[in-house]
Amino acid sequence: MIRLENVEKVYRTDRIETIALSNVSLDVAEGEFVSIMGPSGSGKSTLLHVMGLLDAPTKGSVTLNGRKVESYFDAALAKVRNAELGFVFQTFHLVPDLSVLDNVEVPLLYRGTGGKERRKRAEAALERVGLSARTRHYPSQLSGGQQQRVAIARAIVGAPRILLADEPTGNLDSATGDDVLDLLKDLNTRERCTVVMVTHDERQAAKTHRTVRLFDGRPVS
Amino acid sequence: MTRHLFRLVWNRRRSHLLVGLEILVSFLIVFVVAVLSVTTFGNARQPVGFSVKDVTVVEAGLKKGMSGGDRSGEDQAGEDRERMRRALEAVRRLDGVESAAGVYLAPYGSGNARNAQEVSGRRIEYGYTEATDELLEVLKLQVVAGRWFSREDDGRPYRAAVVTRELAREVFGGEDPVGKDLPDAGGPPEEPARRAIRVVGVVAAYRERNVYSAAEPFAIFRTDLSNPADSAPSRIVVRLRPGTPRDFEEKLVTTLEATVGEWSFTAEPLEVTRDSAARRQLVPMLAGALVGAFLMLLVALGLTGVLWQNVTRRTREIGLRRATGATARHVAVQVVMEVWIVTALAVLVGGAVALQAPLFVPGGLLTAADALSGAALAALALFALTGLCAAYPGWLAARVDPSEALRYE
Amino acid sequence: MLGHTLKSTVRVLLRRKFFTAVSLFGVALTLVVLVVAAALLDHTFGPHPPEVYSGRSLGIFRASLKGKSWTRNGGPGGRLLETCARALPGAEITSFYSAQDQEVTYRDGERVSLWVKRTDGAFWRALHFRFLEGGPFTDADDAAANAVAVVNDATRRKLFGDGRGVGKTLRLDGRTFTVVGVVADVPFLRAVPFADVWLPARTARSDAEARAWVGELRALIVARSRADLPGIREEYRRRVAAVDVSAEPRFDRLESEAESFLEMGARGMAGTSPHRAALAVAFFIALAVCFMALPALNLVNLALSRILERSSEVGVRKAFGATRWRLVLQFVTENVILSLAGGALGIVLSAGVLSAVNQSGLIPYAQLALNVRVLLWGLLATCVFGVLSGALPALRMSRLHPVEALQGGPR
Repeated sequence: MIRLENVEKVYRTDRIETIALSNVSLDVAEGEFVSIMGPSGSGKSTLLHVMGLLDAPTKGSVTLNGRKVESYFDAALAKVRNAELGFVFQTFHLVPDLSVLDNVEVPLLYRGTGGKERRKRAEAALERVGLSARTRHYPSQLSGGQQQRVAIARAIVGAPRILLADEPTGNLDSATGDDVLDLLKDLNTRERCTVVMVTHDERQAAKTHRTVRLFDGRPVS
Repeated sequence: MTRHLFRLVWNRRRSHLLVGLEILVSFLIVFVVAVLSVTTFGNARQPVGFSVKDVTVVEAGLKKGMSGGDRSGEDQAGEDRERMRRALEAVRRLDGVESAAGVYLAPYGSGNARNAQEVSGRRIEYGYTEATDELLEVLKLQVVAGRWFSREDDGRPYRAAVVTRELAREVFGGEDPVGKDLPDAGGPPEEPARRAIRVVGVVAAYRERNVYSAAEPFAIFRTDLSNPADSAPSRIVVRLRPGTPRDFEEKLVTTLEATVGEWSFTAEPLEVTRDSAARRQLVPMLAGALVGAFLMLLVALGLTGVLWQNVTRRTREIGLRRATGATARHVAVQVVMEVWIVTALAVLVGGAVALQAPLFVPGGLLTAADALSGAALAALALFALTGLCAAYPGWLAARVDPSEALRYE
Repeated sequence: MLGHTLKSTVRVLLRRKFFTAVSLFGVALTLVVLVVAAALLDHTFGPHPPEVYSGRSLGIFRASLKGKSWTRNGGPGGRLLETCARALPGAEITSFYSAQDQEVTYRDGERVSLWVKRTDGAFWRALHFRFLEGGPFTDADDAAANAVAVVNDATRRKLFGDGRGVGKTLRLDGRTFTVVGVVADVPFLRAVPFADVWLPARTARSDAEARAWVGELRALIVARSRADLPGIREEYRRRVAAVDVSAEPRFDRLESEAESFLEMGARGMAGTSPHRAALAVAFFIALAVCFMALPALNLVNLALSRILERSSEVGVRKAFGATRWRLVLQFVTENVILSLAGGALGIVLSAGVLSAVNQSGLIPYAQLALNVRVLLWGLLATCVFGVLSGALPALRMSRLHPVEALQGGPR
């Protein structure tokens, strides 16, 4: 499903080079729920960004659904991200100027889905995360857990086959965090979604199929 | 501290560039307004060189059907001189008239007469009028060197002239102009009896165009009504006794028409013509200044918005500064100082442009000193403006609570 | 998609009221100044009655007597016009008239000051005034120096109250004139037709004007067609150059041009020397550029601030598949909507300012109006404004790396 081969990521500024990832190879199978762990600065988020095509690797290759990503042109990447991937972030990143429903509709906009169809699918996604009562609210009117559910609804509305979650429970208390994790797990088992999640929490990592540990940009096992 | 701030501004140069550009353009606009006000009101404070109060201008014209017929121009000119002499005498006899003089063109009129010529590679241009000897008393001119022309100049081979200080300086530089001749490229070569124009005196000023116009080189040539070489003036300037009511004009006109039947006359106080000329000059300037003021209001509001936004975006940085021991005052001062550094850079660039202005304004109408004081005024105005804009965001920044800010995402 | 953009735009603008208000104010103010300036220009030079032939008209407003170094500037005198401006080939109507002069009459012992123009009969054919009562005076009236007058409506009211004007008399310049026509008020800024009272030229008591080369007269020439205009200018210039003025002491030639009213206005601002005129034009252009640039820069800065704040939104939209151009389109649409709203506000405000100017009496008999042409240009300018000011920040933001955007935008 996702294959990284000898991926290296180096950040260059005027004077210094920072190696964020060095020689990472990784395979995630279809339907797998993988967690990525490691101390701060070990390159967890960078790895997720490379997988999600938000960031281009300095060396090595990324293969998604059997297709190797050859070019990192903006328009081509945007298309792949829109069709194949769903993102969930630690700080939710909901658009404050859009209602819950409009927020969830965002990925469908860039696919050219018609207005009615968008609404139908957004409502379905919100129902899936248990928030169908809040579609008219704005993000600022919701609790953290609710906001993250909206973000998850947004990630799944386009029925992507891969969900990438960057510390989705990092800003939530443990009970709410557990709820969100259960939701992700449910999506994984029932919808056969492949999930890759960066986490700090051993307890949560334990609930996933497999844990990849990173240290200084290298996988350790 | 200052170096630190400079570095901070430099590191954010991309986002400051546009703000700097906006300040630069504002500076140029304020500069134009400031220079116009400085020169205009500077000019208005300069002496006009004559007294306008209680002076009335009477314009004379030949009545219809009274034209000279087939007589030669010379006969006509002689008749005109004689008529003007009679007219002046009649006016002076009137009770209420202090003095009267004949002039070619009166101050603040619509037409003008000029002389322009090259003198050793330099172009000298000046306005002129011609007048009889009494102009000195009528307009209360101030002679600062030499003497006013008078009967003393009767029958001389030259034509006497009094010049303004500006003209004396332009033509003769530092030398004493009295007794020297004005350069004259002359009329057509066949013109008979060309006379030199000799400067007999200098007056302080003669700003006849407008209250707000700059002092300019000007010459007054003597008209001798008994000299066949001089043409007759077509206007009479009259000094009335103070407090003479305005309907005296009518008496003036009737008396004149009774004296010189061939001519018709119209009278207008000099103050009225001066004020309408001043208004024509001032109204467009006021409109421009009004637009400028609105633009500055716009810039002020916009800048406040941008700075406010900037402070909100940098809450974390501000929190960090507070946590490491900056006082609320420090933070507020920092916000203001950052804008002032950008302003200073913009004003520096704008000032360099603005100070070139005197090179491009023709006729020396804009002196380097005026440009400098205009630029200084504009700079001051902009520092005040940007400081004012930064005040509210600065105050907001000062109120940032460090512990809140560091948690803020 | 459009619905989504509109919805988001409205929210964005409502949530940041200060920014929105300042942006709206900026666009509106710029538009007001543009519209008022355009209305003034149109009011002064546009093809409005009575100047129905302004497209094929020329005027002679200036003349100079020149010698080697001496110059006498003024309007053309009667002698110059009679010698050079009569029966120019291609001219259909040629009218000579005097520049308006302020003269005084009395009503019940009270001083009333009036602008008086002296014209020939052709004046009334070259210009089509709207007569409320009676009609114009004729060439025959002028030839016989009949004491007749045409007055404008405001003067009729001032002198005769509510009654009819025709048949009444007024005393001017020591003579009694009978009113033969009353016309609708003509704005002060329309220099050619404007006056309060029009009198036959030959009723003037002095003929100094008629004898002068340089004086205070004007000529109005209506050509048969636009194509005749260059020929008329050329012929007039040729005739003026051929005039022998050697009898005038100090002077040896005449200079005068037939020009359009717009050229006359431009020259009035810029002065006569071509060097000076070029500088003045450059100065006005520079000032106009600054004037346009400032609100635009202001709008760019505000838009940039508004967008910078939303870097997280940019990141999310990118992560979920928005391309660069989609994002640019969204932000530009936002700004165009904002500009259009500002434009609408500006038009309302302009209408207010114009009617205030009309009523203030600042410009006598002003009839400044919003016209469709000015409005359309204003709207176009507003859209261009919106696109330009939105494009720069949008391009900058859309180029942002998605990861960087999610982390809070450029530093």
